[in-house]
Amino acid sequence: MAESIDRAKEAPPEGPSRRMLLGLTGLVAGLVGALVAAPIVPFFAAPLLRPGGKGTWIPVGPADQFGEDPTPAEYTFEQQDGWYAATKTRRVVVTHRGGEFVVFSTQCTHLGCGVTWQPERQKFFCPCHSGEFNADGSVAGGPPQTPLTRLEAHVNAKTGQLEVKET
Amino acid sequence: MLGKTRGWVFDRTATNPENLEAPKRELPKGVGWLNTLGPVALALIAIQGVTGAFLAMYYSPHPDAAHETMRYIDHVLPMGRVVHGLHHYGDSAIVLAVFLHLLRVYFQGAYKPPRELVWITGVLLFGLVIGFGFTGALLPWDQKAYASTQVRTQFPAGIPFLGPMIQQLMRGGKDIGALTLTRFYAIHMLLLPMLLIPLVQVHLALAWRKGPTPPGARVGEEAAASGGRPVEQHLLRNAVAILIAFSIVLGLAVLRPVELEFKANPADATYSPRAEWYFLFLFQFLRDFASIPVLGKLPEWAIAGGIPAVVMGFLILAPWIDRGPERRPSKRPLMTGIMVVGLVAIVGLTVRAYSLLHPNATPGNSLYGHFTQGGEKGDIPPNLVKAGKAAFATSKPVPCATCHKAYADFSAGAGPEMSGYGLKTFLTDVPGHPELATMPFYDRFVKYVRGDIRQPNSKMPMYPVEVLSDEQLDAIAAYVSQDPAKVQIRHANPRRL
Repeated sequence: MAESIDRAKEAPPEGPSRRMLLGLTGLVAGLVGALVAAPIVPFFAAPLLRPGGKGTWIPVGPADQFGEDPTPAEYTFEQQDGWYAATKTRRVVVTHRGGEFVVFSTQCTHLGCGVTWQPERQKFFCPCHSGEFNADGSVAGGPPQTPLTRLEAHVNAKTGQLEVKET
Repeated sequence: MLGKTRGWVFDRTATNPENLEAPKRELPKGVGWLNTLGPVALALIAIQGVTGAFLAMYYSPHPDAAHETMRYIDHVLPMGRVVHGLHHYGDSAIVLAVFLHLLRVYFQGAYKPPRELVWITGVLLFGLVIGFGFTGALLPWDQKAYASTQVRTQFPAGIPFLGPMIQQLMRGGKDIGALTLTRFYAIHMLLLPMLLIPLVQVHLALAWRKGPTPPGARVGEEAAASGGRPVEQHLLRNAVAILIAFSIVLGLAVLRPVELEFKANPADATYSPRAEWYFLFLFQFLRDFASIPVLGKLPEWAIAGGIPAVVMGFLILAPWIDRGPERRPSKRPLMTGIMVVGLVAIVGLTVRAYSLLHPNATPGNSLYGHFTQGGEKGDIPPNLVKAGKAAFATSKPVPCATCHKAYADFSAGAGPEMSGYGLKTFLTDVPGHPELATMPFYDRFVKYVRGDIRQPNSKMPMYPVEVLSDEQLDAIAAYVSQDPAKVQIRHANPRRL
């Protein structure tokens, strides 16, 4: 009750029509905004609309060069990066144990720095926040909560190359 | 809850309506739709900032990348061609809106006291708007961008003593290249907005404080004039005008998609750039002026630079040239007359320029467009190109390759080079064949090779259907239509494509 009396006091006699004009102005301005946003939103969000690739097998090196000790390796591949045909390099650590090839990404699962395999301590070490992982990828200490990421790998029977899947 | 938030905002920003001077509720009589042109220009400029910022997320100002990123924007990204189109047509719309706004103010004598500074900041803003178009035109790095910048930065070179220095400062070097591109990009994205934003603020603040000019009121007699529409109604009109203007820009962007031409190719001597429509009058004036007996001997830079300089000077000084208290156009015959003559000249020269221009080859209307649906389909089918290359080498009676160079495949002979013919404007001036100027480029090409048309001095043999099948001719047209820059990439990087 009290509220409606206040409002009546605020607005001069022709108030409602003025308020309506302002409301209409806001509506039209909003329409312009929507028309601008309509093409820009999908344009900006295009990276989300890209379908993920099936992935390709990239050779890392001859399979017989990897033994029971974790061995660092590097491979290079071409990937379309928007308009740019990029050449990317990735580092991994490969272990061949019990007939199985285990390939770990060297990206720390904490905040993404690069880990290195330290043979003398038998640990993966991340210099950023002293995260540590065991040879099997499990967390050995420091801030990381999840084990090192394992990449899909197989040996190409024709070439004898160890290959990992890049998506 | 809402009321509380409102109160909090009013309090912290010191904008409580009760504490502010009550805004005038009624505008002067006669303030109407014409007064929406300024707000329309402002809104279009703001939208230009938005589309520009998002385009910049994908664009790269490097000679090897710029055109590729534009192709990516236009043909790969969702709505890319519309966003590019909004930015492209937005420029034209702003130039038009700002110019019409300027005319309204001029004819209403609104530059007179106490609004001289509103007027001067407005004229300067007009100059900045042109600067945006000048620098932005180079960024797509296609043939049109390159050739038009070539011409525009060539004029100052003729200035005695200082010319070469000015030109090098504009280009960042002797020629248009990587440094020109980054220079124009930085000016377009950083320097000009840094100047534009504060200048707009001053322009608006001054216009706001002085209020709109009551049409027809003599200087010093404004106070008497009021009793027009309420402010709120004018705000609504502004919003509606902005909606209409933006809808037109959006309509153009959707219905007439922007066309990206082949990558800039400094070696292409046959490409003839055309001025932006709002500069066509100047372009035509330069041409016509050169044919006037004595005056025509004046150097081009003096005309190309002198006319804009005289116009800007006249506009800035208008409040002091026209000192009388009268605002009605009919009571200011000199000022009204000057502008009417100027307008007639601009319109007349523009119409004349259009009537003399041949339609240029564009991705939509060209050999290249014939095979790619205006570039929409991406590349010309490789099989067709392969067949065309074979026919180019073996056609009878004389193989095309005997006389014509094409890409890196065939070296030079007596005839013109055929690389990248896809976007060339050819056969516009063949004596006795005026119909060619408007014929689709594919038909021109076919008629020419077949021998239906020949320039008087042509040494090229005829290739009737008995010696060259329609399929072979079609394949040859496809072969010569490829973008030379893309063919080069394929040669250099066979793995990539």
